[in-house]
Amino acid sequence: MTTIDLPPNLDDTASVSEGLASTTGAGPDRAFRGLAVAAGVTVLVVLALITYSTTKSAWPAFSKYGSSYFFSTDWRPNSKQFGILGFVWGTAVISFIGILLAVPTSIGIALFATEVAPQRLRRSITTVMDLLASVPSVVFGLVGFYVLRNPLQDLYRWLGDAVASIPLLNRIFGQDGSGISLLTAGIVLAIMITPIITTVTREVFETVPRNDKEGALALGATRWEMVSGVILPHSLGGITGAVMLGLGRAMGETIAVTLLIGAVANPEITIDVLSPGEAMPAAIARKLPEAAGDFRAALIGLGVTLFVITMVVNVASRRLVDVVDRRLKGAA
Amino acid sequence: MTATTAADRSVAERLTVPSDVRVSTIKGGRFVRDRIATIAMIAAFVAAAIPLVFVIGNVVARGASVVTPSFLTSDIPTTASASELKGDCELRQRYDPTAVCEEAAAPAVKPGMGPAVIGTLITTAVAALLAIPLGILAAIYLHEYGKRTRLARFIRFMSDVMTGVPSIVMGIFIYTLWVLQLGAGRSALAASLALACLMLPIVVRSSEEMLRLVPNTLREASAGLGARTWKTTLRVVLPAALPGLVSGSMLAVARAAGETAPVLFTIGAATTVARATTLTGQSTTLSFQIYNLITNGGKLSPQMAWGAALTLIAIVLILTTIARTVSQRFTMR
Repeated sequence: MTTIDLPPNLDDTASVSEGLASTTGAGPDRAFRGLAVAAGVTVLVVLALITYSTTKSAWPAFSKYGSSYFFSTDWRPNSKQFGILGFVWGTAVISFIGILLAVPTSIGIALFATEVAPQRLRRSITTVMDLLASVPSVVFGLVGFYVLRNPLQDLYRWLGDAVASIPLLNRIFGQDGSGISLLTAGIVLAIMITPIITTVTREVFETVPRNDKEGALALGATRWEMVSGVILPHSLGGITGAVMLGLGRAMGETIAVTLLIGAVANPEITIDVLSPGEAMPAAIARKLPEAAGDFRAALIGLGVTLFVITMVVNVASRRLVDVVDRRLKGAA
Repeated sequence: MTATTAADRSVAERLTVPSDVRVSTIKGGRFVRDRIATIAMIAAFVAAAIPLVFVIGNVVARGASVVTPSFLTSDIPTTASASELKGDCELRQRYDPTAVCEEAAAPAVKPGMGPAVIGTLITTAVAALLAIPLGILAAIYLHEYGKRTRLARFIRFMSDVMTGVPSIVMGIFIYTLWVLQLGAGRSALAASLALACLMLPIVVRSSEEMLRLVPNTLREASAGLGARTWKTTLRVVLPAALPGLVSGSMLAVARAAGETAPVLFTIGAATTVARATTLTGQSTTLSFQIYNLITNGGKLSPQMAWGAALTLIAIVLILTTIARTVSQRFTMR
C-alpha cells in the first residue's frame, strides 16, 4: 500500500553529492508536496469561508430576532417581521413527498439492475440514471411550468373532489388545487433524487455476499424471498445512508422547486399538499436579488439555516455509507 | 467476515421453509408474490424512464425549430423591442380593430440567445480552470501523500460533505463575500467562482477514486528506479490516470454548466453579445435566461426558453457523453 520511503541517511548522502541530488531532488518533492497539501487545505478553507461569510452577513437577522426568527411563521418583510418556520415546513413537506416517492422507486430499480435485468439491459439502466441526473434543474422547472401545469391542475381538482368526503385525506388533498403546488414540487424532487439514491443503493446491494444470496436460493427461496430475507436486511444501513443523501439533495434543490411550488409570500403550516407553498431555497432565489438591509440579512440567514441542516444530514449519511464501505473492505 | 454472521443468522430466521415443500413445487401464493415483486421492480424502472423521455422529448420537439445559427449568436431581445412583436400587435387588434399589423409595422424581433451561450461557455470554462487543477492537486495530496493521516481523512470527509452543500449556498457565499463584503460587484468572474466552489469537491472525490485505480506496482516500480513521489506522480501516476481524471472533471463541468442557483445573485445581467464577452463585467448564462424568461413572462418567452433549454441540454449531454466515452475506454484497457 505505502510507497517506499528512502531511509533518512540516504537523503543525506544525496545532498552531499550534487549530481545525485539533481536527479533525486528532495527540494522539488517538498515543493510539490507543499502545493498538494495547500490544495487539499483549500477545501477546508472554502468550507470555513462559506460558514464565516454567510453567517456574518446573516448575523443582523439572527441577533435582532433571536429565537422568533427560527420559531415564528410570521414572515412580513414590509413590517420587519422575519419568522422562517413556514419556509422550513414547506421544505420539510416537499422533501418528505420526494423521499416517499423516490425511495421505493430507487430500491426497485436497484434490485432490478442487480438481480433481475439481463446483463445487456443493466448498462442501459445506468445510462438512463446518468442521463436523468444530468438534466439541469431549470429544465425540469421549464417542462413542469409550461407543459404539466394545466393537466396537473385538472388532475388535482379531480383528486380533491374524489376524496372530499373522506376524513384526513380531504385535508391532505384539498379542493382548491392549482397545478403549482407542494405536491408538484415534491414529485419533481422525487424525479431529481431518484438517480442518486439508485446509484448508491445499487452499490450497496452489490456488497451483499454472493454466498448468502445463493444459500437462500439453494434453500428453496423464491427470488423475492431472497431479496426480502437476505439483500434488504443486509443493506439497511447503506439504504438509510443513500436516503439521507437524497434528502440532502432534495432540501437544497432550488430552481425547479422555485418554479413549481407557488411563491407564497408568507407560507402557513398546512398539510394540504395541493395548495401552493414556499420552500427555503426557493424563497432565497426569488427575493435575494433585490433585497436589502434586514430583509437581505434574513434571507441570507435562511441560507445559513439550510446550509446547517444539509450539513447535519450529509454528515449523518456519510457516516452510514462509510460503515457499509468498511464492512465491504472487511469482507473482501 | 464477522460482519456477515448477523446477516447469516437473519437468513436462517427468515427462510424457514416448511418441511412439506419440495423444491419443484413452489406454492401458489409464494409464486404470485415473487411475480408481483418482479413486476414492481420493472415498473419502478419504467416510472423513472418516463420523465426522462418526456422531458427530453418535449425540449427537443419544442426547441428544435427555434435553435438556428442566428438564435445562437444574436443578442437577446430586450423587453422594449420584444413588445413590438407581431403577436403583440395582433393582441392589440382585439381592442383596437383599426390597428394595422404589417410585417413592416412590427420590426422583426428575432429570438436570440448569443450572450447566454457565450456567458455559459466563459463562466463554465473559467470555473473549470479554477477547480480542476486545484481539485486534482488536492486528490494527489489525499492519495499520494496524505493517505490515512488525520488531516487527509478530515479533508476527505469534508469534501464528501461539501459535495452535498446545496448549490444555492455557493451562490449566497460568493454573493456575501465577493459582492457584499469585498464590494467587487456582480460579474462573470463572480459566477465562475461560485461554480468553481460547486465543482471543487466533486473533482476532488472523483479524482481520488481514479488515482486509486492506478496499480500500486507502477508506483513501486518507479520508486525502485529512484524516482521520488513527485516525479512518480507526474510521470507515472497522472498519465496512467489521465482518462479517468478527464472523465470525472467533465462530469463536474457538465453539472456546473447546467446550474442556475449559484449564478442567480452573482452574474448580473447582459443582453448583448458584446457585453457578455467579458470576464470582469456582468454577463448571463443559458440556465439563468431560462429562469428569467419563465418568471418574467412575455410573448416570445416560451419559444426562447425552449430554444435555450435545447441548447443547454445539448451542451450538458455532449460533455457527459465525452466523459462516459473516455471512462469506458479507460475501464476497457
